[in-house]
Amino acid sequence: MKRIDVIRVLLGISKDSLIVSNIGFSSRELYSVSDGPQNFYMLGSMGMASSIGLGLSLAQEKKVYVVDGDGSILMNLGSLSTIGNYAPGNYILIIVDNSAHGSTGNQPTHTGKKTKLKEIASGAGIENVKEVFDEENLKEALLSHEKGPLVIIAKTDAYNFEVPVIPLSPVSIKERFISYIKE
Amino acid sequence: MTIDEKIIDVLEKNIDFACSVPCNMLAGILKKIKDSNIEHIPVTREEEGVGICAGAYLGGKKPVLIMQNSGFGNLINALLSLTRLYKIPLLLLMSHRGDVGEKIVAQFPMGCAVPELLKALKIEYISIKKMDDIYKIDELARGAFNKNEVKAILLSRELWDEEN
Repeated sequence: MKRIDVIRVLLGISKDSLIVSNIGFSSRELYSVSDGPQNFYMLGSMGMASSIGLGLSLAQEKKVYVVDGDGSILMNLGSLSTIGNYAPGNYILIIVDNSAHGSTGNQPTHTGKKTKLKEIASGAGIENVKEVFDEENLKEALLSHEKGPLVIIAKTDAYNFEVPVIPLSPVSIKERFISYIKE
Repeated sequence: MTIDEKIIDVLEKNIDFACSVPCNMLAGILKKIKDSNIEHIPVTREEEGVGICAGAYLGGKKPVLIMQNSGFGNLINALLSLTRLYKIPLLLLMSHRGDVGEKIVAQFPMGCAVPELLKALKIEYISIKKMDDIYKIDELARGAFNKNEVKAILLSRELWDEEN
């Protein structure tokens, strides 16, 4: 499974929900598969995807899916403990764990060695943590979600599709996203 | 009304969501915020608070990040490449450690640097040193949300000296 497969499975399920996508190829691949006002593409602030999604899920009632990465969540591990204690049931964090900093040249991260994100997330207080290895497992994990926040660790290959840089301005991404929520 | 109550009172006029990283100068405010109309999420690090506040704003909230100025160095990247880049408003309410009356030596480097950092980053800020100036927070906060900008408040230790 590659990152883009995770995105495709998610898009098959997410419908009208909100999606916050991580800086770099997570956002670029999401944009190339399906652009829409419900997508908040991060263009900077590496590490902040899980936090932006948390604020969003606390502030409004639509479901929030966050597409984060292993390198980024390792940069903001405290976020998992805040999620464990405060995230509401409309919060779903998908960590695309390819054991690499995909957008900067696939430099290896610690999850390819000893670090286990599943155990870190559980230890942080998150009750629903699932690790998935293929599209079928991922779909099942997303569809079986009933209550409480959910964290999915999606184990993938380190692979970036050749997709262009997002041509939208940050302010236009924000404005159409806010309008979509208010509709 | 105590100083802490006055600050909560002026915040409540403009703010309905807060993230915080603690400071003992802010202990009274953080205790009182529970009884206010402001939803409060304690966070683990200042930058995380910037991310949560940005998301909360996108979802319709008006956020403040309450923190010690020493943590300002922990949030600059997110503050610029998220909050400012997308023109998202945010109020930063900071205790000003390392200023007059500071007893902890480790507070001085950031205490001296933060006003200069705010200027370098072109973040409008006010220093509150006496109770009669607390009302100024209201106008600053309105400016942040009207103009979609980051605005900062530095609360001086002298402010609470009035009460003691």
